[in-house]
Amino acid sequence: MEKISFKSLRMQKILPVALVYAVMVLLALVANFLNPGFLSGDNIYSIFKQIAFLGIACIGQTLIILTGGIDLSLRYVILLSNVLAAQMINGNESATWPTFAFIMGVCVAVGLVNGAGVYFLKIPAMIMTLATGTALYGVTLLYCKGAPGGHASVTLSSIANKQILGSMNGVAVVWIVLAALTILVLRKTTLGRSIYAIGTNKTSAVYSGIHVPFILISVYVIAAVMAGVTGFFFLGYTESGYLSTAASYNMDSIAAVVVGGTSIMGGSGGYVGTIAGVGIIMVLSSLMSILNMNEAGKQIVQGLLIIVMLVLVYGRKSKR
Amino acid sequence: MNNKKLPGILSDRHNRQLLVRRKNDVLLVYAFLIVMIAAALFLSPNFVKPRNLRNLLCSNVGLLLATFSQLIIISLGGVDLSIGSTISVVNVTAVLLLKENPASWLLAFVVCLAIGAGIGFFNGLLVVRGHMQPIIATLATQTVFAGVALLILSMPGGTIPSVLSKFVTKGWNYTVPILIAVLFTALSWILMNRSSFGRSVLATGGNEQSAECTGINVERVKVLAFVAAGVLAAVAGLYITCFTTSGNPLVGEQYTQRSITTAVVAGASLAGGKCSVIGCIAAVLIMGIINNILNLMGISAYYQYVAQGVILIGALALSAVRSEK
Repeated sequence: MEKISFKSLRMQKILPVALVYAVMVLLALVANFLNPGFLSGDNIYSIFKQIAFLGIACIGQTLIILTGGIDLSLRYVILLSNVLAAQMINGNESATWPTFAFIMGVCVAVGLVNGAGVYFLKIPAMIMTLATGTALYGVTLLYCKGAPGGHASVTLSSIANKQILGSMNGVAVVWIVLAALTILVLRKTTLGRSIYAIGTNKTSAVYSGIHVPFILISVYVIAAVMAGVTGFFFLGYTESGYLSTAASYNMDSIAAVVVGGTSIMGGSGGYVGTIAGVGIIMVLSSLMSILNMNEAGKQIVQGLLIIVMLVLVYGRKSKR
Repeated sequence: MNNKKLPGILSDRHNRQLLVRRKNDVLLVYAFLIVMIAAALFLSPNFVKPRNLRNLLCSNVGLLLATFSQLIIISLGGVDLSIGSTISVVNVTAVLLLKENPASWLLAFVVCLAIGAGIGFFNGLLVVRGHMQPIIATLATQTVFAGVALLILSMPGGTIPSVLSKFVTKGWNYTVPILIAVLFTALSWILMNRSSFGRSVLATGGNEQSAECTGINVERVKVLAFVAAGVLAAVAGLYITCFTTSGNPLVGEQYTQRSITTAVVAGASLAGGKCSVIGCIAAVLIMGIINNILNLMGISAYYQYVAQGVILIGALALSAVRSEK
């Protein structure tokens, strides 16, 4: 029998993540070469602002993909949260945090429904979230009667726009805190271990005494809450509610997670890789803007990128 | 008629039970359809007017065709998320190629069907050679082909010859769309129930390993299933183009979710190996009637989205409860 050294196992885990970070840096350098000033402080700050939103949304997507599912309701939860926040706050300073609490409540409910459908009704995660996503889109349209109005409060726009720590805005700080928490939970807690166990093999997770329904439903609740947080703070960035808010976030988040090295089949990967994945997606997107590529080209490139990553992941698994 | 044709199957008691259970599903959908029609009659006096009924039938032929496409992949045990993008690509291509000159129609049809087949082949290749689940492979290709549709036509616009669109959607006093629906229902029924290809698809969806053991070339069946689904999606795209008479790179988007919903309402199992072509007609009409009633009663069309999501979850919950029994 071959002896497994822990050192090589550790390297096996670290290497792909290091590779993703290297690709991110490389892409940024290419962008800087094509458009000197890309790596200037101002531009990094503006990219960082957008990265933070996608980063928060990707926390949920990472957790769900780790359990072996995919969340297609993400963009609609963000949209609903954004539209709700815009109309309920409507510039009223004192309504900011009560609205936030209300939105969190709505998101918990959405997460419970998603999780219950996936666990109890055994509906494939993608189909379940596709259905709740469509329903939520309808709810959003009904709530705003097809034309979202309202605008952000001063607090909210200063969180999204004012630099507080060096070149970081409030949203970036929120993201960093949430990201650190996610990494910690995934690595050091029972919840994190259980998420990996469920993603690797649900049946054996049940037999090893993991309370699968609790973990799965928690994951969907966390995901919906993170999407809600994204949508809420997004209002500070966009100032008003828009129906096109976060339209590309489903594919962006899936691409970021998959590019970041998390297996689409669940059970392996993590949020550290996702952060680099988010960076790659954002740098790639601004790179394509530099190259004057239109929306169509961006979508095609992103789709092909996901396909290449999938072929790599699935190709490797099937060889074993 | 069936009894005479299939003595072998009916002699087997277990198979007979299976057959009855499958018919039960279809009966359930039609019972639901009758309830919906009764509700529609009760809620709006305008429902029975010939103009409304005609509109109800003609506007949903596209969805019916898309459902048949989705049904093949669901029978295989997968879900096709790229069907909407396929419809969009076909729509913008058709608008680009269809000119007043009837000779261009043939070219456009052939090109569109070839595009459908090509997209299906690409999906099938990813599934078979890339060893991916269909739902994941098509999630990725969906983005690519949505981009391609935007590349061909970045803004809604363009129009197709009105002679063609009128003939396809209103021709012969509205019998042409009905004929198209009947023709493709018959074709799909024969394909799924009476051809070795359809049986192989259902066998593969039911249990891939045992299908392989009975000598079915599973990989070939999968690729062919995606090609067939792609061609059917292209036909749906062509009908939808004739119905909307213009180009829109986002026109197909809604059909992905709607086709999954109707196929599942019709009694198809997402686990694969089970489908009902005849049930699809009832399922499409149910979805059509819901939208129709909302329109007739002047209720916000936005309820459509809520209704669609709730019905999809409801149908899946029902099938989960039934399969547990």
